[in-house]
Amino acid sequence: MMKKTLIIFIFIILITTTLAYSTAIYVGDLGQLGASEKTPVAKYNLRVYSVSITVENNQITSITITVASSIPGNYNIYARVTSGSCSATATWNNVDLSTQRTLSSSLTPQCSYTPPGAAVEVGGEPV
Amino acid sequence: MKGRLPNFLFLFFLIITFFILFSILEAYSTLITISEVEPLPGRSSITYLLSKYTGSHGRFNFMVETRSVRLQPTGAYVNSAVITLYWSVESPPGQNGRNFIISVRLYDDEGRSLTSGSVTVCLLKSTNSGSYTITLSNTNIDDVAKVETSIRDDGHWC
Repeated sequence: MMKKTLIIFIFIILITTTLAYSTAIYVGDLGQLGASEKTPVAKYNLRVYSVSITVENNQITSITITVASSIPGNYNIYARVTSGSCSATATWNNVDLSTQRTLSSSLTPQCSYTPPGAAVEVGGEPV
Repeated sequence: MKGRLPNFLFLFFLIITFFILFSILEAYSTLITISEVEPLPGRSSITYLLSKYTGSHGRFNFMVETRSVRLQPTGAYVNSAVITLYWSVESPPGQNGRNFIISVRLYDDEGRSLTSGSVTVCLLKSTNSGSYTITLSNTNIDDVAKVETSIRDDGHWC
């Protein structure tokens, strides 16, 4: 009698949990897990307010960026400078982006600054 | 033996049930971790294109470099950009320098232009750097995926 009650109880838990889970996925129409309208996924947008390069003897020697995020937190940030076929990357780890931050770094290798110019990609991800 | 079989099945059933429940709870806690603790990337990178121009008119050579670009925000909106240039301009006697058109254009993730602006500036041969403000229409900073500058020779001495 005790055993039957326990089995029925476990069955009810299983069925209820399965129904709740499948309903959540169905109602949420999830493109990605956890992204239903009722439980919005927090998405961060990196905001780059300024990019500045230092050029000495036609070589890009350093970079300064001002960066923020739509979601405060600690981020690993990188800035990749590409000019012609040359590319150099600066990285900053565990940067607190609760407010705007200005980050500077020297670049290695030092790329020539040639026409039509240089592309600077600034990116980051939460720590 | 007959008496032990139900006990064995019962234990087997209990273990399977435990694993199923554990898996569901584990998956659910992972969802919570992904969606609420660690933000997912909306836009994880932005590209700035800093332009450099070289050219000449007759025996007079020009070189203009974009050294920095700064977007000026008001709240979440950008309404102007400040560009710092470095240049080397040669001009004939009686001319102070050369006019150049400096432009900036902002793009979204799909490569659509959000806003743009330009300014014509006289780059003097007696100096070699300066900052210029370009007015833009109000643009949400979170829509900006690419910032592109360009430098064009206006074709006139100044």
